[in-house]
Amino acid sequence: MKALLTIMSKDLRVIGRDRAALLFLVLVPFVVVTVLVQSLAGSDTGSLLLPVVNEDQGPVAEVLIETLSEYAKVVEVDRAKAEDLVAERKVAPAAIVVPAHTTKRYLTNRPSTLLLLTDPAKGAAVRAVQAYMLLADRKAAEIADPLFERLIVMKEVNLTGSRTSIPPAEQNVPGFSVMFVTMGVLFGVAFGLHQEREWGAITRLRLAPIPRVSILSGKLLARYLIGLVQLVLLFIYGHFAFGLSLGTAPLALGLVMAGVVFCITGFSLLVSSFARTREQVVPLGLTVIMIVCALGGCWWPLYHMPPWLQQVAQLSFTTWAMEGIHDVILRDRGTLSILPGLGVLLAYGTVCLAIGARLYRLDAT
Amino acid sequence: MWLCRTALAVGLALAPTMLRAATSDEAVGAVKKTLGAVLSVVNADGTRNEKLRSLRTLARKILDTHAMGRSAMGAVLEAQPPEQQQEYLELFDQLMVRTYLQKLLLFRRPRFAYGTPLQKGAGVIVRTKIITSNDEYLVAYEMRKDERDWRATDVIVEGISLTRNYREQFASLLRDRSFEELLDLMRRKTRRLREEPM
Repeated sequence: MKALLTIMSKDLRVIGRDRAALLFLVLVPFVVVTVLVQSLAGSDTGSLLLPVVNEDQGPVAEVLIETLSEYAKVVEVDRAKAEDLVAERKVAPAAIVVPAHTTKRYLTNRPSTLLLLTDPAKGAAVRAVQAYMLLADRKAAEIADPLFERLIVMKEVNLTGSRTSIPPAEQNVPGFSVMFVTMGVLFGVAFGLHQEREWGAITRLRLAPIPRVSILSGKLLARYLIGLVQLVLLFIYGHFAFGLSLGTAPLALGLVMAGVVFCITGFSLLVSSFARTREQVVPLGLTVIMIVCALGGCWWPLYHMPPWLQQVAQLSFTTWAMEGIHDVILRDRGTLSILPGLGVLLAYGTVCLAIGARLYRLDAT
Repeated sequence: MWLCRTALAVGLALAPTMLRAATSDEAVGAVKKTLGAVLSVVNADGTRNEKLRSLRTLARKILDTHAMGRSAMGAVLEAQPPEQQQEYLELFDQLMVRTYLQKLLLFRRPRFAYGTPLQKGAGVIVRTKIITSNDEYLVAYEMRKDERDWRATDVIVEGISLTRNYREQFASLLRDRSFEELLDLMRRKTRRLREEPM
């Protein structure tokens, strides 16, 4: 145990001396997370372009446009321009035509047919526009029909937390934080072990009366602590900079973070064990990181992926990491509720560690 | 003598026309006064709730909602006990006032114009237009004088009578519901409307 701690503190000192590596670990993720969160903040449906052809020019069309503007970026254009935006330039998923005399028909309780010009290739966005139309139509129907009775009233009740809407930062900050911690730990572990092996430090350690498991554990523990600190700092930054919720159970969040970084560390050893040379580390590491981050919902929500891919994603630790983090910060789950997911992360990390330790040869050259 | 007889004959012949003109002017004046007051309330300072309260008072002054309610329900109402008739008329008043104000308030900054009034039996049809920058919307008030004031017994928007619209809805509902069920529907509707802003 003493040897493990000594190796860990030695590694921390070595890492501390490498200013460039520290800069990468501390500064770069913050800058990139800031840029990405800001650029992806507009990817929710609020920035969806919705051309409206207002042939009515009456107050009902104004009410419709006002209602739709709450959900999408509405631009009033003529019919030709609307068709161009949807069909030719493909920048809008759909356009709405409010026909002439809609207001007069509304005032006399006669129905009007609004035209929805769509680009079926943008399926999800078109469905969003259709939903907005229903909302706007309901609002307008209440205006027109004095006895209009809403027998089915829509009231949103969030069963998994206290909020009814989740800002994009709640997806992006945890996702990119997990990605950067994975990069930091994986490359740290892989390069660290290869470097020491090449410099002969491992051989010297192996000659000392220190068990092999202590050498490896000490090195991994150093990387684990750095990864954990990095993840905590990124979440604190996300909280203050982007209003990221930290949930209602700090202990649960702490446990999930610890579990996530443990899993990342185990996974990093496993991947490192496949890289036989330093040159193999970067392509192998980058490929694996890109795949697990894309698959595990670090870059976009899992529900954006096809169902079969969502099933495949269960094999990636990032899926469990994101699920655990979301359980705490979005669904306000407590410590007991996150234990099953935490168990999966710990088991995943342990299996990776065991396989990685078995495959990794400390004295290989 | 001949001159006096001629003057009397002309006077008697013109009297109904002059009387009708005076009557029409009174009816138009009543509508103008109300719509002017509506504009003043809309443009005045005050909270939305304060404005709505004032607008409801103005609407009740010009709209004879009891006459409209009786006309909309027809003979079915007469067959009901007095307390149910009273409750129906109160609920109808709330719905009609809301409907009228909703249609009026759909226009952000309306400008009103007045056409030539038409005599219709003992009443007068006051023709108005709501003018916006892009279009005009016809709203006619069927006015009758009660004991003191001229009040609308129907409002016709773009050729469609609000009272007739209610009558058709009631007739449709009463085909498969009882009067009590219709009353319950109106109760629920007005209760919900009280909870929601207009």
